[in-house]
Amino acid sequence: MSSVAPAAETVGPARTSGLSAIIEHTRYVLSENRVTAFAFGLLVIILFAAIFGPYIVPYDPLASDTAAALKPPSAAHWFGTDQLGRDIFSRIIGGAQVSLTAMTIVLAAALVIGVVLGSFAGYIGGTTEIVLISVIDIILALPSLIIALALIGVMGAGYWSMIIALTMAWWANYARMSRAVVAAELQQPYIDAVRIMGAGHLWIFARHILPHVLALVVVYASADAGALVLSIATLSFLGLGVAPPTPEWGQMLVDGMGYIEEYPSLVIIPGLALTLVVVSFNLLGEAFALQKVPRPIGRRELRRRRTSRAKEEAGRERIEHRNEGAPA
Amino acid sequence: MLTMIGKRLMFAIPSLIGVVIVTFLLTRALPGDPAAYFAGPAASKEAIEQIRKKLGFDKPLIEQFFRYTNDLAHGDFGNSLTTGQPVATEIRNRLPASAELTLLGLIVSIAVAIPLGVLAATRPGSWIDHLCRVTTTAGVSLPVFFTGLVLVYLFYFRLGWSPAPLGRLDVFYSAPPTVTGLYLIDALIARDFEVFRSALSQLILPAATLAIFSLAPIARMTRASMLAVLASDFVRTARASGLSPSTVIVTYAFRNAMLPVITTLSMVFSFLLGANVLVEKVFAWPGIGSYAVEALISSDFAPVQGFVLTMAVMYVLLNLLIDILYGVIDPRVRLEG
Amino acid sequence: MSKPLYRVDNLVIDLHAPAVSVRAVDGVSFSVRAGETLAIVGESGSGKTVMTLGPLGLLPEGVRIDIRGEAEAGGVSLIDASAAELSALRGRYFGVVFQDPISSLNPMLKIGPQLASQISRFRGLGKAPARREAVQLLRRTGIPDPEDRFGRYPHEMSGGMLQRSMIALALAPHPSILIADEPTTALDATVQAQVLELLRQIQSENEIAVVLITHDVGAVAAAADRVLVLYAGQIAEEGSVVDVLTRPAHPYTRGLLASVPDFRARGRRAEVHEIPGAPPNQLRLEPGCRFADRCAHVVPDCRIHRPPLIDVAGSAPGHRAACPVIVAREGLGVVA
Repeated sequence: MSSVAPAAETVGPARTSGLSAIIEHTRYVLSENRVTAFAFGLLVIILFAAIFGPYIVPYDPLASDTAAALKPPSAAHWFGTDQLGRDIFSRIIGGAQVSLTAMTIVLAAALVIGVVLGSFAGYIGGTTEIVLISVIDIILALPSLIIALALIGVMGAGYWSMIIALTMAWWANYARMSRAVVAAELQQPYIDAVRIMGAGHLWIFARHILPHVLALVVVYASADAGALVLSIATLSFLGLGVAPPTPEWGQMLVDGMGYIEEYPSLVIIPGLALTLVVVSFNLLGEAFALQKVPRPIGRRELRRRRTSRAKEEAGRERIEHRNEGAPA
Repeated sequence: MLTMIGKRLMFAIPSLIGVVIVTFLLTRALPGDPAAYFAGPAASKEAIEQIRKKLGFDKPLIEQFFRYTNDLAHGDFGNSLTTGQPVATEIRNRLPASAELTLLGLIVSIAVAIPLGVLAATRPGSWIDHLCRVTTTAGVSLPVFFTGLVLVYLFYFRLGWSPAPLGRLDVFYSAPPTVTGLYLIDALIARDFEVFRSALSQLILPAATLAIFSLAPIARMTRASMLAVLASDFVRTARASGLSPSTVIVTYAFRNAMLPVITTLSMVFSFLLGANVLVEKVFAWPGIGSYAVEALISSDFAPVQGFVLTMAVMYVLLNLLIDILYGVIDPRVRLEG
Repeated sequence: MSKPLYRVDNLVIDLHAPAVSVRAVDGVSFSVRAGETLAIVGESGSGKTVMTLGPLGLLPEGVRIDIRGEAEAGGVSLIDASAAELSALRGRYFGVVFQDPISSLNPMLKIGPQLASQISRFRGLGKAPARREAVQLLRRTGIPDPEDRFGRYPHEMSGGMLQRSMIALALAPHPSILIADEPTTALDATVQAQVLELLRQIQSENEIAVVLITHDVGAVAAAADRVLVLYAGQIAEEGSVVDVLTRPAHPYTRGLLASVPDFRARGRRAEVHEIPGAPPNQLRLEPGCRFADRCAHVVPDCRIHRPPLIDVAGSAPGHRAACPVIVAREGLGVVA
C-alpha cells in the first residue's frame, strides 16, 4: 500500500511504553469520546462509594429490622429494604466496598506473583523457563472458574478461600505476559550495552525491563478488573464466596432469588449495580486496548471537515488570484 | 493433512497427562489430610481411618498415583458421600443435560453473532454497527445469572410465556427413551412431539441466557476480523478484478474472516463451561454443573474432583477439535509437514 | 491522435480518515492511449495511487472520499457511476496489478481456479476451455510448468512468480488498460527487470494502455513512453520520458534525477544530491507552489500564485513543467 497516507503528524500518544506513556495514553483516551469519560466518571463514583461509603451510609448494612422488611423505595430507604429489613441502598454501597476490596487484593496478589514468577522465568531462561511455561499453559488451559471451584473444593468455602482461589486462577496470565516481555526485551541490543557497562542483574531488570512489563500488565489488569468483579459475584452467588450477612452483590442476588416474583427489586438492584461496574471497567479496558478497531469518521465530523476544507480552498483562491489583473 | 491432524493429537496428549496429574495433586499434595476430605466433615476418627485404608492414602505417593490412573482408566471416579452413588455414573447421566443446553446456546449464539458481526463490518457507522457495539459490551458485562433471572422474571412471572424453570421437562411428561441423552433429539427419534415441545420450551430461556452471554465475544471478533479482511490487499485485488460487492463479501472476505473467529471459539467454550454452572443453578437444570456445586456446598469431594477432571478433559478435546478444524480450513496450515 | 482510453481532468480528491483529512490530489489532469505506457512518478504521499485508483473506487476501506472533476473511461463518467457500474468496468476495462503479490492474493484459494473463473466470467467460456485458457495465460506470463502451478496456493510460490500470476489475473478478462501500482517494489532486482520486460511485451502484443505507478526512476526509463511527475498532489512536470529525463525543467524533477546515483560516472565516486527539507504537510491547503519550501530558486511570487504548467521549448509537444521561474530564467519558454 504505497502512497495513500501522507506524512502527516500522528494523532495520539507519542511514546509507547513506560509509566509516562500510560499517563499520556490515559489522558488521550479520556478526551476521545464521551462514553469513555462517562465510564471513568462512574468508576470514580464507585471508588468513592467503596472507600468512604461505610462512613456515610444511612444505615448499617448488617442491621436487620424485620418489622420493616420488604418495603418499596421511599424517602427513608432509597432503594427499599430486603427480606430481613436491611436497607438496600446501604447494602449496595457496602457491597461496593466488599467487591472492590476483594478485587484489589486478588489483583495485587496475582500481579505480584505473576510478574515475579514470569519475569524470573524469562530472565533465567533454560529449564526453569520451560517448566514454568508448561505449568502456566496447563493453568490457562482450564476455565478460571473451574480452577477456582476446584481449589474451593479443597479449602472449603469462605471469603479467604475465594481470594486465594481467584488469585491462583488469575496469576498465570500475568506470568505469561511478563515472561514474554522479559524474553523479548533481553534480546534487545541495549541490554548487552548496559551489561558491558557493568550493571548487575537486578539493576538491569528493575531499571530497564520492569517498566516495559508493568506498562503491559497494568493496562491488561485494568481491563481484567471487570471480569474479576464478576467472578467474585459469581462465587458468592453460588454460595462459595462472601457469606451472609456481609453484603456482596452476587450474594444479594441469590438471597433475593426466592422473592423475585413479588419483590424483583431485590434481584434487579444488585444486578444493575454489578452490571454498571463491569460495564465501566470494560469500556475503560476497551478504550485502553492496544488494538482498537477504528470506526470510520461520523457524519457530523465529516461535515465539519468538509466545511473547513471549503473555507481553506476559498482562502487559497483569494490569495492566489489576488493580484490578477494581467494574465499569468 | 493427516500429518497435521496427527501432530495436533500428539500435542494434546501432554495436556491430558497434565490434567490428570494436576487433579491428582489437588487432593494428595495439598495441606490437610486427604482422607478427611473424602470422609467428609461429619466423619469420626475411625471412619477417616477406614477411608484412608480403603482409598490407599497410607501408601506411598507414586503407588497412589498409579492406583489413581488405574481407577480412571476403568472409569472409577470414586463415590459421592451424599448419594453414595459412583461419581462416574452420575456424571454420565447428567452430562447430556449440560451438553444439550450448551450446544443449543452455542448454536443460537453463533447464528445471531456472526451475521451481526458481518453486517456491522460491511455497514460501518450504521444502526446495525451501533447495535453490535451495544450488544457486545452488554453481553460481556451482564452477569450470566442476572440475565437468567431477569429473563425468568420477564417471561415467566410477568408475561407467563415460559414454563416454570424447574428442569428439563414439565412434570407431566417423562423423558423419551434414551438414544443420545439429548431430549430434543430423542423425542424426535421417538416421534413424541409433545415431549419435544415441552423439552424445547424448558430449554428456551436457559439456552437464551447462555446465548446472550456467548454472543458478545463472537460478534466482536467477527466484526473485527471482517473489517481487517475487508481492508486487506487481496480483497482489494478481488474488487479490482471486477467482482460484485456481494461476491467479494461472501466468497472472499467471509471465509478468510472466519479463521480468527474459530480460534475465538476456544475462548468462548472456556467461558461457557463456567457459565453453565450458573445457568444450571438459576434454572434448576439437572446437569453436571449443579451436581458439582451441590457437592461443593456439602463438602463432598469426590464429585468435585470428577467434575474438574471431566471439564478439563472436555476442554482439551474441544480445543483439539478446533485446532484441527482450523487446520482443515486454512491451506497454509493444512499443507505443513 | 487516437482517443484516450482513460482520461482525467482537473481531479480533486479529499480523503477523510478518523484522525486526519488530507487533500491527496489537488487539480490534476492526465490521459493515456492505447499502445502507450504512462509512468506516474512521485514519492510516498504524493498522491499517485489515489489519483489513478481513486476514480475506480479502489481506495482502502474506512476512509471517506470526496472526488471532484472529471474522470472518464470506456465512455463512462467514473465519478458519476454507481458502485455496480464501477465494479463492472473494473474487470472488463481495467486490469490492476498491485505492489505486494503475496498479500494481494487470497491465501485460501488456488491460483489457477481464480484465473479460470475470471476468464469464464468475463469472456463467457465454459469450464474446460476456461481452464485451458488459464494455463495458457500462465505460460504467457512466463511461469514455468503452468499445469502444475495451476493447482498451487499463493504461499507455495515465489515473489516473482506470484507477481506474474497477478499480471495474468489482471489480463484474464482482456482489459483495455493495465494499471500497475509499484509492481516491482517488493521484488528482487533481477526479477524486477523481468517483470518490466513482461509488461512491455504484453503491451506491444495486445495494444493495451499501461499506467505504471512507481517511485523508481530506473523503471520509468526502462518501461515507459511518457511520464508524469507528481508532488504534493499536483503535477510538477509531464512529457515524454526522453524529454523529462534528459531535459528536466522543474526543480523537483531535477532534484529527483540528481538523487539517483550514477554508478557509471568514471573517476569519481557516484555523487548523490538529496533534496533538502521534508515532504510537505498536506493537512492544510497552501497557496502557491508546494515545492517552494525546498526549492533553491524560490521567489516571493512562488508562495502566492500557483504555477501553471508551461510548455517547454525544444522538446516534443506535451513536455510541460510547473515552474515559471526556471522557464523564464533559462529561456525555455515557447515563443508564442
